[in-house]
Amino acid sequence: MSQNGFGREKIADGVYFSHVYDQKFYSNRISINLVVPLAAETAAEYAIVPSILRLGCRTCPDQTVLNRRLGLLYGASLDGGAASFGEMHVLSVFIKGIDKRVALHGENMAALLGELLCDVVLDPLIEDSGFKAGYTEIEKNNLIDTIESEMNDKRVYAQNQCVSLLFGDSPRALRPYGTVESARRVTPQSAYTAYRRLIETARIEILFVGSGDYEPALSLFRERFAGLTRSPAPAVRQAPLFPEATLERTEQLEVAQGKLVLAFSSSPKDERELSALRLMSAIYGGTPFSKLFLNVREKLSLCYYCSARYDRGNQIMMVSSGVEHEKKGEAYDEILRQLDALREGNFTEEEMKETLLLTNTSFASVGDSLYALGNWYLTQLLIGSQAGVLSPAEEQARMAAVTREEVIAAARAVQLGAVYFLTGGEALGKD
Amino acid sequence: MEKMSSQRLHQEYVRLTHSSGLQMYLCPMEGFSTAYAMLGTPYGSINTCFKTDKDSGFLRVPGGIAHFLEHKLFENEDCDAFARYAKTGASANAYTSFDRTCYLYECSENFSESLEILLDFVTHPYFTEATVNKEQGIIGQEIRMYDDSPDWRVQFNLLGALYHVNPVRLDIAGTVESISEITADLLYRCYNTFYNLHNMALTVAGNFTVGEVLAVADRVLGESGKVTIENFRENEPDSVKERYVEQKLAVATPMFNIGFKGRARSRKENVLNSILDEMLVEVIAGDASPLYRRLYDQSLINQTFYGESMAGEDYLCTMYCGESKDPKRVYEEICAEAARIAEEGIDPEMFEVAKATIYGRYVSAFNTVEGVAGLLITGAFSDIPMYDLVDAAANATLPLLQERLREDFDAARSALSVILPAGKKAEEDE
Repeated sequence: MSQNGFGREKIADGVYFSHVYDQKFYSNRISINLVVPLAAETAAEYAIVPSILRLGCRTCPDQTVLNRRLGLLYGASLDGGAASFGEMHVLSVFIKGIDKRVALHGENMAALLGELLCDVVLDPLIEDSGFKAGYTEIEKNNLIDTIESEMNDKRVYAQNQCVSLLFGDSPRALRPYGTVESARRVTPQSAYTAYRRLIETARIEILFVGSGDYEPALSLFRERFAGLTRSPAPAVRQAPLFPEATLERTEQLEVAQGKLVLAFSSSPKDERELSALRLMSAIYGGTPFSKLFLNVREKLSLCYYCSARYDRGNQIMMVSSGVEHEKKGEAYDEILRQLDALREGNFTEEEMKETLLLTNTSFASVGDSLYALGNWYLTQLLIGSQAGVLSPAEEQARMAAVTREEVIAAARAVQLGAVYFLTGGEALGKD
Repeated sequence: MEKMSSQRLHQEYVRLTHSSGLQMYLCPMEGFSTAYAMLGTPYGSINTCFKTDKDSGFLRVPGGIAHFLEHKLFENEDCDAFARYAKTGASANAYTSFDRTCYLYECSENFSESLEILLDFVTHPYFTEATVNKEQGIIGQEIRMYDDSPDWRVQFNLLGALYHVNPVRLDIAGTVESISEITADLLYRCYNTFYNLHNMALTVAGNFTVGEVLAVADRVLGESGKVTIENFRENEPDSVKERYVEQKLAVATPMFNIGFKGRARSRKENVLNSILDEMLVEVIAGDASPLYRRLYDQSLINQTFYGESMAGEDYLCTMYCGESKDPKRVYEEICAEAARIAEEGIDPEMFEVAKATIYGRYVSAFNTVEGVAGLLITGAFSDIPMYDLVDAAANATLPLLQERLREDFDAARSALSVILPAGKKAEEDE
């Protein structure tokens, strides 16, 4: 067993088992991630699959029995979800629970959790060549609720709308849950067919992170996946296509505070340019002493929040802010003025050094969290970079090597692709 | 210096009182790269009327002032604390809740330098009318953001229904009107009352040594005079103020919070009882319960449904939260199920499930430096050694739970708060 390290092995055609062992944790987290191309026709029927699987399996055919089993496994959490990463659709089911060392009755927790996860993903409940009708109906309603509830968190909603505006008809504009209309069309049979297709064709990434012995889980997964018929058709990564002119949209909803989101496109040609883009985004708006925070929020009091982050999956820098409706124009101008400052090199060595110091803390904290470690390595695997799978410390070193000139070049290279503004009733029409 | 250890978790921490009067709870954790430090005072939004042994009468302060003070403390005459932390690479923040204000940072290097900043800025207030005025604009924006947040509104509407006079019913950040009454003088009064070191606690977890903490504290902290604080509390009736409240906001599906008002005792008892109440949340409508299944099968609840217990100085309540097309029906079903179980007794299997679930939840908090620092401060302010919180879950018994069920889950002392989609009317009036 490796110490505090990442290891990965192929256990079947297009199926990989990765493990990160670290004895400081009291828990283990195992996830099965099915990766396919994101497409409008399949988004909803794929998105519903993890939720239906989570309700029961042949060894635990009743949802309540399954939940009791999880409860007795010290409240182990079993959950599923759909996410997008660029043009990829990632369907995940994960289980997390405490380790044997702290179990009240000394149960072999890692093996038990692995077995249950395997049962849930590979041995679902089937009736009439479909998933159980009742479960499908419930999860269909939940999926529709999820799609409709995306508007509840206005900050996230506005960001999603901006991404959709930017990418127009391409798969990157799609939400990972699909649309209400496509969710309504899901049947027990269509969802089961989608599931079969996922198991047969998806690239499958299994991740085990924690302090437990992963070997029994690995043996079990190897045995269970060996029995499957597979013909993987993995998603092929393509560079995003960006609009030639800046797109703008204003939407009206009953909100007390407006949300202004700007998306900037980028086309890093290698890992070094990517590190520069990430560092530039952090100097611009990723810290409490960034250009955006200090000027737009603190100095001019234009926004309650104003931040920038780099979205690696879509190769865009997103600026997100909460503004008074009538201050939108002023905030917009100031956000761009601060980017111009970076383009002209108006930032100090100190700003760069301090941003790097703070990102060091962020990189270190990834290694101190089960959840963040799992996400980190899944992202690394999805990127499929030529540099291979990097640890947080390795990425940190790459960022530390970025020069001032490269930061300026990165700021000059980004282009404003989309501007989205969410505003309340009264303010509409004033802009 | 007192060493506290847990055989169960193979872990230990030290507790000591520094010469300045500050209580310290220090838990070095092997294998972690980061350290997490919190300096807190048991002062939050519920401390609205108080006096010290030096004051002649009680002072009533505007709602939201504890949170306002937290924002203002980051700034001193020369620069703000974030600018200082920028030199060390620490990720800093602070929060104000009902009954505490905590200043914190996480770092992977320069631990001592960051601790020096933390101890220094929290002990050196600087408030002027000009800086207070500027902050009123920023916090006004924050309050407006909360006004749009259905999760936030549904909870405070519920607390406003459960409690008649207890300030736990008030928004932590206050209102645009209440914060407009805040002045520099008032901030100093609050600061001088609640921010004396004898009243505060420092907790640290992760990658650091006890020696580093003591060296910084010796250098930065002077001895502070002890202040005795008396909080004025109006008598909170046993009953709830209202059984039903609703508001309309831009949501797609109605959201609800269902609350049961528990009987509050001492802070220590409330915190320990809330651990048992968390188990009861599972027994009554947790996802392994028959009721959960019934509600889920009828699409009356979805995966957003969860329950939690909340305890503090003089309050204890339990909530179920989620989205539903028919929140009133969910509310009725939960009340009926609590009454049925109180009458018929808790199913022994459900008890084992609930106990293991909550035990697992508390153990899981030890996976992160943030979780440990947070449990240490909860323990510090409620006078409970941290490992006792885990033991309380591990040692729960069925009779104990049965007793708590009768006491804290009474439908007569419950309320329902609903957020309806804007533009739609309530299906029926209460």
